Amino acid sequence: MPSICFYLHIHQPFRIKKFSVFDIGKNEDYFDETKNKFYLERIIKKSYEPTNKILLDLIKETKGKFKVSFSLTGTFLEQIEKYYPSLIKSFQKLINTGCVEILAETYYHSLAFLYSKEEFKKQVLLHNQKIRELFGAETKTFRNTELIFNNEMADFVNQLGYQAILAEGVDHLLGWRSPNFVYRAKTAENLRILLRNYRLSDDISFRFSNNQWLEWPLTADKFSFWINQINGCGETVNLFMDYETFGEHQWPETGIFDFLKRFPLKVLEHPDNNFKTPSEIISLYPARDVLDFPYLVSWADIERDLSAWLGNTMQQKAIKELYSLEKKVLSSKDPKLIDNWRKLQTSDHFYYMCTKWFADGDVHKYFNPYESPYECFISFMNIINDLKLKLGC
Amino acid sequence: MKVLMFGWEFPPHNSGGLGVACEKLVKALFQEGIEVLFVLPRKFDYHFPYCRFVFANENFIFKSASLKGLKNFYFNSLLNPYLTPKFYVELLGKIIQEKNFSETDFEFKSLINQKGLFEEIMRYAFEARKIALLENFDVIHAHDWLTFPAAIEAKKISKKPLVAHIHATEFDRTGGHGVNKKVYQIEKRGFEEADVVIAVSHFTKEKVVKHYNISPEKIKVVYNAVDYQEFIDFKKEVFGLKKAGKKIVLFLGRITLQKGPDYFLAAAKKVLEKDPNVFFIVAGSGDMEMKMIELAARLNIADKVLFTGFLRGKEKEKIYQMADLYVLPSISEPFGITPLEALNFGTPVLISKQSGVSEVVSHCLKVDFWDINDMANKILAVLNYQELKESLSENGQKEVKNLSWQESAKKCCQIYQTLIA
Repeated sequence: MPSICFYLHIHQPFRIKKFSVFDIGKNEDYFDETKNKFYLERIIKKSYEPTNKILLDLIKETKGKFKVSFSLTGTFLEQIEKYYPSLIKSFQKLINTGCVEILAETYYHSLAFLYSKEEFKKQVLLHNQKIRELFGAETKTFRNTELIFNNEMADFVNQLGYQAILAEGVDHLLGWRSPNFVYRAKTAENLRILLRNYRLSDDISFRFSNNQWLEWPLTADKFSFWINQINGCGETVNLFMDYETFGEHQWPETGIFDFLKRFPLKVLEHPDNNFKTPSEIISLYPARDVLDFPYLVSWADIERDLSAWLGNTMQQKAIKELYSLEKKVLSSKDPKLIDNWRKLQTSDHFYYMCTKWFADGDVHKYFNPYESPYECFISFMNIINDLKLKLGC
Repeated sequence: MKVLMFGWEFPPHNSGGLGVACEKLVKALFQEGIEVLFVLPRKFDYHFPYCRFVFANENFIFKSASLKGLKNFYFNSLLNPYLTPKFYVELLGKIIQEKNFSETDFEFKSLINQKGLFEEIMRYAFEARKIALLENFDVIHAHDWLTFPAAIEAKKISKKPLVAHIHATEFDRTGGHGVNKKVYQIEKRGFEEADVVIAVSHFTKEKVVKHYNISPEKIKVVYNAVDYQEFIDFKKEVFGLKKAGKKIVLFLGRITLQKGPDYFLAAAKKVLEKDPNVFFIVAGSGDMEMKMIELAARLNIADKVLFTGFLRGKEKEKIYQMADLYVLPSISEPFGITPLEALNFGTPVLISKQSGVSEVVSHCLKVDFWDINDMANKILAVLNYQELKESLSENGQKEVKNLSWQESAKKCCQIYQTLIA
């Protein structure tokens, strides 16, 4: 009987350029257009284009039984509007099938909730607006940047009018409970929580190509068998992952595209299984228990915390400096300056300053467009100083 | 296992990192149970707890006794790893004059018989044959070009395998301009005769492959290291400049073309335009010292650039700790131990990408040596952004604590094993 809630997150930041102390006060751009275009082009070819095609084919082939949900950040949409409008059309096509739900989030993929609720709210509204404009859709479910969540956020998001939110199915908060049910937030009676089943999600997004893994190779048959096993002890299996899983984190050579084509069909072979969007899930299944999120959790790393963005003093300094400018930036009424300030809030900038594991050359390093976390911090701080100069402080 | 090792300097009578590297490697090899017979071309009064020293005249009289596995043989000579053939002749003349040797003076006679650096190297090689005949050993290990002819002779006599350890090539020393053909030939010959070439970094390995046409399979990389050293925290002692609220950027190394002191000063000029509250210390000596003092004056920053001369021991420790940032702007640095020393004391480092050490340290700042704008940008960032300075210091120190000469010695042992198997 389990419903599969298959949700993909798509985001691209405006990466900052190498900004020297000697660039301060010279009216230089903050963002590296060449680099951003390069990364975008590469990811579109490797992942977005082929994956969108597969998803559309699946919807057609299953006559709408296959469903998928997206979150598309404003910074991503802005960039494809500018450079690859054909991709916007491709997303519109998908959304027009009626089998796709678009989720709400901050336009700038920011950590604003932690530093300014006012700003957070504005960015959610900006994102709403963009989604309406491009897809004519209204959002009902919320996902915060990196699935960062706690009790306070539950309350706040509920007040913004959302009925559901996505969160990480963290073991230490769930205890004996399963992520395969709908929950209710302790601080917001009307807000439903959908928890990521990190085991099954990560089987696809992390372990798929790992030949040291006992279950390797992961086939559609095997995966659908695991889904079928849940039958009776769960109502929803929430497979949440980055869109880039398909074609970038897992290269085409690993067989990931073939897996994506086949596993939904395999799952649907069992008559009790179906695919649902988050809004459908919460109308189908009641909340089975109340969950307490007294502290912040995220879907990142093994720690499931915020250490990848705010774990070191450089990250903390950079973000504090940025938000300390809020009032002055907003009162400048300069749209370009405000937009730049917001683009600097994108969490990726702080992620690139992460020093944990840096020396080991792991995933943090792989996705880092800068030579080192220090390089990113230096450019970022120089930009802040340029911004301060513009604001006269 | 016994190793016949040819070196050319040993602390405290060293002019740079090579002597330090030899000393540390020998000590660590001893820990691995390797008995090293260390041959040196230069007579000096050495006092080490772990070995006894024996001196030889030009005819190689040695009454060497070994203690704890290490024997040292010394030759009278003027070999210095950083000598150029021309400078050697000048130095020779100077010493003869200064010492005012009498005709009958033993050392004097040996000196006047030597006409130049290359003859001296050949004499060293000649003497090496005798050692090779007299001593028992399993492997020959030679450090840098001056010892290669000696090591090759030793190999011919003993038929033992040869390891040529390259710490710096002629291309590093000259920056690729004005490569001395004779030096190049000796280096190339050494690499060819060697059974294994040890390079101190991949950066150096690539040079050996590219410029000397040596097969990459034959070259193994063994990094240098530092052994973490507990130190007295001199920061508690208030340094005059610090007390006055000045920031300090340090260059420490030989003041010579290879180390890029001119780029350091050019970056200093840029930094001072933004922040006059900074002092630049140049610690070391070398053939470009006078030129650099002139350059500082010409750039009109002479009041902000302090030349200390060559520093050792406590003085060196103090200067490292005093600095807010250590800069190694080398134009071609095969390895570069000094950044590791600086990090040992928790001083953040900025190193050129044209260095081997950048392969072992990730928690540091890196620049192209020629990019003085970026160098100045990064210097200013460390001086202005406290969090950056602290992170680099903390993480860099942690990283360096994980390095040890024992690892380097273990790698050498593995290489020896493959050669005698």
